[in-house]
Amino acid sequence: MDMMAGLQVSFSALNAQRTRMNVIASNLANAQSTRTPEGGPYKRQEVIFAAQSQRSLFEGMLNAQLQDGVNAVHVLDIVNDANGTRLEYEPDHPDANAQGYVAYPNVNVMREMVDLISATRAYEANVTAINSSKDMALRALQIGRV
Amino acid sequence: MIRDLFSSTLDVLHKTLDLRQQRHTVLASNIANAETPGFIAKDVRFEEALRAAATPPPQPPPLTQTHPEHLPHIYPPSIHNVQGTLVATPSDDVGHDLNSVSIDREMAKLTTNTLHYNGSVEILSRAFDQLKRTVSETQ
Repeated sequence: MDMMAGLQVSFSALNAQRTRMNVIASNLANAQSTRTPEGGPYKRQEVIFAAQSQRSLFEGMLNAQLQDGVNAVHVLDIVNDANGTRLEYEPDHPDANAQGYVAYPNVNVMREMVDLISATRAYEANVTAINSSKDMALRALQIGRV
Repeated sequence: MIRDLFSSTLDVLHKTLDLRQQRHTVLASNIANAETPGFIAKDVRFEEALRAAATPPPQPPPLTQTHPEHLPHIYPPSIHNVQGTLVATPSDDVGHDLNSVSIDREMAKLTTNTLHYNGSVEILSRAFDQLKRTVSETQ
C-alpha cells in the first residue's frame, strides 16, 4: 500500500506534465492563428499546478506528520495568458484592421520551447522515481527467496 | 533460545526498510511537485533515532516508577517505536514561483535512498540464508 502511494504520486506528476506538454504544443501550433471560434486571435494558454494532499491514502499507515509530506500534483486550471496580442503591419492580410495591422497571438516560440524542455525533464525525473519505486518493490518481494 | 536465533539484526533491517520506504514516498512527492508554485521540499530524518534505538547505552537511565498505575519504563527502547521525523528542506535558490525543490538534490537523495534500501534487502536475504543453512546443516 505504502509503495503504491509513492507510485500514485509519481503518476499524478506524469499526468500533469503531459497536460502541460499538450498545452505547450497547442500554443506552438497556434502561434499564427488569427481566428478562433470565440472570435479574435488565439490566446496563449498556461497550466497551473497545485499540490494535493494524500491524507486519505495514508489513513493509519504513517504518523500524521508524515502524511503532510506526501503530496500528489494536479492541474488546477488552464488559464488564458492575460497579455494582449502582438500587432504586426500586414495590410494585405484578410484579418488586418483599418490601419493595416494584424493581431497575432501572444505566443513567444522561444519561451514555449524552453517550457517544453522543462516539462520533458520533469517527466523524465518522475519516470526515474517510478523505476526506483518498482525496483524497491521487486527487491522486497525477493526477500527470503534464497 | 529461539529469540537468539532471530537476532536484533533482523529487527533493525525490518525497521530500516520501513523507514526508507516512507522516505522514498516523500522524496517522490518532492519530485512530483518540482514545478508546483510555493511547494517546499520535505525529507524524512530517522538515522539518529534508529541508531539510538539500535545501540542503547549499557546503563539504563535511572527512572523509578512512583505509582503502580504509571506506564512502565521499558528498557531498552524498542526499535519498533522508532519513527521518522518530517523536516522541511528549503533551498536558497527559490525562483519567482517560490518553489524550493532542487531537482538534482532530490534525484540524488532518491538514488541514495534506493541504494540503501537495496543494500538492506541484500543483508536481510543473507541473514535468512544463514538461518536456513544453520537449520538444514544439522539434519
